[in-house]
Amino acid sequence: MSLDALKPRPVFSEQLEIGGWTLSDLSELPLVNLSIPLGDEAAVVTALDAAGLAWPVPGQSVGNAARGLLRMGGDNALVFGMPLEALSDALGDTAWLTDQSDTWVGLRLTGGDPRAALAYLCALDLADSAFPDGAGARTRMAHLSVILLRQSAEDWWFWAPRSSIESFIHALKDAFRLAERRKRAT
Amino acid sequence: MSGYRLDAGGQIDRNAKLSFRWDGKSLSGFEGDTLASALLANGQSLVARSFKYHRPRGIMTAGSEEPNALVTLGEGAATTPNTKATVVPLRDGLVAHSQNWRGSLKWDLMSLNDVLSPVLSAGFYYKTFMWPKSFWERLYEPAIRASAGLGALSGSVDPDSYANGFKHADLLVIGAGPAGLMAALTAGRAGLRVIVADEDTRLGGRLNAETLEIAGAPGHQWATEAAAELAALPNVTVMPQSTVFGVYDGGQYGILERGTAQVRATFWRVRARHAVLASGATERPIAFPGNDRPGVMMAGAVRTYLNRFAVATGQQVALFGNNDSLARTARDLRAAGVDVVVELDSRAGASVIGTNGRQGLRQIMTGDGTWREADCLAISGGWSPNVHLMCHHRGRPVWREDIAAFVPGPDLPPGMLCAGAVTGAGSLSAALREGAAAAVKVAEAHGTTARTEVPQAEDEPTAIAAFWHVSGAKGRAFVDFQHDVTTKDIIQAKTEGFEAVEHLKRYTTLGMATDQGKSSNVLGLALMAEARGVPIADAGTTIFRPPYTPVPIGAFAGPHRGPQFRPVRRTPSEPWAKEQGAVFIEAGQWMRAQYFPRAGEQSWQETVAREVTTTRSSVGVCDVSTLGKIEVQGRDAAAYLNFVYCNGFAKLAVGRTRYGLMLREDGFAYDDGTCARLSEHHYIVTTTTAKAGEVYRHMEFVRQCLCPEMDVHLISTTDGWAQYSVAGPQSRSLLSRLIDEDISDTAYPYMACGAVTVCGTAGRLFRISFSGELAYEVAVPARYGDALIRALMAEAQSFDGTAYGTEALGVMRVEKGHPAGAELNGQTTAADLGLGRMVSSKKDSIGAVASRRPALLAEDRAQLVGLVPEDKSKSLRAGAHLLATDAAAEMGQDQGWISSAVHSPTLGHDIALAFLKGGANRAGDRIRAWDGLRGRDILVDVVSPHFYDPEGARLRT
Repeated sequence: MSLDALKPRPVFSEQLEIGGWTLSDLSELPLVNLSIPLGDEAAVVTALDAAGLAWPVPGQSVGNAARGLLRMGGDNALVFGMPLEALSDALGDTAWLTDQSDTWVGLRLTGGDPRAALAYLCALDLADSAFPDGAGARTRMAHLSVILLRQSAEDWWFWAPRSSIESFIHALKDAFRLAERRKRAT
Repeated sequence: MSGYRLDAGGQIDRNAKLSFRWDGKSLSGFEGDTLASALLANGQSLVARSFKYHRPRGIMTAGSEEPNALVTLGEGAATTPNTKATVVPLRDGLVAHSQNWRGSLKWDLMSLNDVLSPVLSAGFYYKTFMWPKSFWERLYEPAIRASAGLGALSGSVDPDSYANGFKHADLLVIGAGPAGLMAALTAGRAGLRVIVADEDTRLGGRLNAETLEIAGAPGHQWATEAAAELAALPNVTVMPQSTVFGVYDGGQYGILERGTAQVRATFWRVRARHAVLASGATERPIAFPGNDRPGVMMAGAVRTYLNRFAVATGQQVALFGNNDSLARTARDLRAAGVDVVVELDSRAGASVIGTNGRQGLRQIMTGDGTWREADCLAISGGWSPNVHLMCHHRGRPVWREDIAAFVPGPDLPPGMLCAGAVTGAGSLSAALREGAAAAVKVAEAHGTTARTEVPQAEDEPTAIAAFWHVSGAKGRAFVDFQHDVTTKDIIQAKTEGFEAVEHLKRYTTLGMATDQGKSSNVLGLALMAEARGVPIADAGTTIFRPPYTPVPIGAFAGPHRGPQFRPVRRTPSEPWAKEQGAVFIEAGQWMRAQYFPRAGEQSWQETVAREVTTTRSSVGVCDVSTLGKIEVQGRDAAAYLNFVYCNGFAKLAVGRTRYGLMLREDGFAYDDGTCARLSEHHYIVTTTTAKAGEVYRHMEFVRQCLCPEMDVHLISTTDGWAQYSVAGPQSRSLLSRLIDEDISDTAYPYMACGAVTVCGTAGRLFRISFSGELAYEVAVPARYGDALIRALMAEAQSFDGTAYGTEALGVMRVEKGHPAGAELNGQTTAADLGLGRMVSSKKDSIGAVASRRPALLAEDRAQLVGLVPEDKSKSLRAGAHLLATDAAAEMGQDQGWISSAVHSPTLGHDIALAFLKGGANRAGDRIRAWDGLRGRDILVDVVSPHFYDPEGARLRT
């Protein structure tokens, strides 16, 4: 095979300023779905522990901005920051893994507390008491299935479906425009 | 007093003068006015025409219960009809028009209806216009609709913007009158997350309209201070101009917020564990002849305009009512220097039996037959608590004779408490106490303690003696002012047997107008109860449903309109396809390339024919990334798939793919696709594009609910892979240039699958075919999809290959006889599709048993066949009905339908897939394809649905 190697084409390559917020690309952060084989949770937790990752309660994450795990359900989690091969090496055959890096587009929103804007998009209660630092969920935003992770009150991550990322970013911009108008009006 | 505006008082900013236009006339008002108060201040007594009789009408109330003063706001595309002038905050430049007239507001030609009123009583159109029958739809109904009705939309696209969103609270306080404010303050001070919503621009409710005092200061001043304290609490959200219009399951409330931040309306879905319903009460009228004349107003509204807006509603005001509020009205009017000409208290036997004045009140006739000069008559028939929201979960209000009103019953929506006038608490002091008490209970439920600090307030007299109508007087007495329902209509309904409240409502349309009978319902019920000779409690109430006040459809849609109506899904090859000038088509949410026109091609048919011919003779490439991709992993994945699919999957070897058919539980065909086994415990299921999400949900249901004992895990990777079909005799040669591995027929036989390296990138290759040609589907992670389509098409050039779109894809699958969405329509079985033998009898699978029901195996079921026109120059169309050649075109003769029809460039004529009764055994029959919609009727011959290479030799080469 003598053809040129395929080059990736990012769907969201640049940083975007929305109001006072910055939307940046997290696409380079690998994303892997981890499912626990029926009845084998202990083995997976032990293996994760050895890999430096804990097994939090559902809806909570562990780790940091470079590498972490968000538990999505009883037997399911998203691991970010570890490529499939690396995670597979670390966990051996203990868990079922699926690469999700290209299924979702990761976006990071920083620059302030965006919750007034997110209220136009997200049905979840994002108050500190209900959705503290490290909380995450898969939810519906602007008719799209989106994974939401709060790293801090001023650092929110989204994973939105790759095929409809354009619609999601449009919806985000709309929401921030509405929030900004409301802020000015009050 | 300047005109009707008082020289002092009111909660208006006299330094902020606002100009507005009313029916083309320039008028002015002040900041703090509503359109209604500004119109009254300018002496505009006549503001509307009634719905049915086009009678002159004036402003009657000061709130959202207003039945009369419906106006049209704005001009051009932004025209908003049917807006209550009483709830429109006045702003500079506001343009408003009266509506529902022909000619002018003063000289409405349609007021002829009023002359004809004796024949236009309740239910007239059920009894008249019976002959000739055909005239109903052609003449009578259009004429009635044209003469009745309200304002009209502009007919242009609404240029306003709308939004919707979500809020959460521990406590939602509905209404910010004294009870609501007290509840919000008590809960807010205790630290609860509180939302307080009120439909008015100012918090305070009746406090802004009355001269009652709290803690020694005017009530409106206390309300202003309370609003300021609430606004300063970080745990409290204050929502003025926000109507809670519906109570839904799970503590969800619908709120319509009007006119904030350049958005016309925002629909908020609020989740709250508790709610305090402090929605107050609505004053109701008394039925007496001429009670709809402009100038006849509710006494509470007269006080509102006087005390809040500094507007006298007349120079000579008469009073008529059945309760203690009359005295308060008289006191307030006199204090403002307005002449109170007479106080008529029904408890003392006084009444009004007639009114006079062509387009506005000039005189009233008292019960003793005396005419008295008056340009405003303030009436009060008591107060009806606004129980609507407590009824949205089917709770019923209960009748309280002592206050002559329905109050909330015991069945409240979960988490709701009631406080203030809505419970029948008539006095200010009681409202404050109830508001605080409700908040204390809510705080307790949230595990905290709230302190009760109720300020001192008046316990004003609130005695009432029910009095519904003046009997014995001549003339029409209106009950429902917006729908022109009179006391006579109610008696007529009773006489004709429509006694039940639900019948009364529908027969007379009582309470069915845009005000939903807020002021008229109880009066109508009382009249019916009296006519029937039963207590009001036995007459019952109709059911209150959302919305409490009208909600613009735009608010529900929010920003999801036009191009943003729904999310758009884009394929990895789209940028490249656009560069090629591809024509796109919506397929569900996806934008897919439909065909790729080239210079010189005259029609899309020519383009599609070229794409098909090139693919069948050389090679074609099509983006099939939109097909659903579900990865299945687990120790029991094989057993699970064997249960999900009707055909066998237990023995599918690693590295092999199989066509699979899923059935629904009822035995009908559900979806089809392929399933590839990548490793011992790892499969990839593909679904049709349209059903990707639905099939995933179905499989997840089966996994969690039907097979919980299995170790199996699903995850969608539809968006994660760019997948291209490479089809045609040269497909292997083309792919060999990009793929490192040996993909010869020996190494990679038909239905093989596995991991490959595509131009240095880890990918997947499936040797499967939808076109009937030697074909593959090659997949790489989606980010490489753009590069791959460019590489494929660059290499395809040397084979004179082509890209093809969904049209050519469809043509080739029909030529090959593959069922797709039109065939898998939910009404067809595997047997109908000619796939009956796929349903394995050696195992259990979803739908297998049900698929063997005798009716589903009947030989005369509509079964898949192929059709060709007898005259090959004729074209076939999907949707045509199949009939015997000599049968009449009627439903009883129907033998089936054409599901898919295309022009086959391979065969040189049209072909179709169709479902024909007993079709499996009817090859060779000649029948008719009758298409009444398009006026076509042609002879067709029944053939095998496999038009092209039925042995499948080409795809195995």
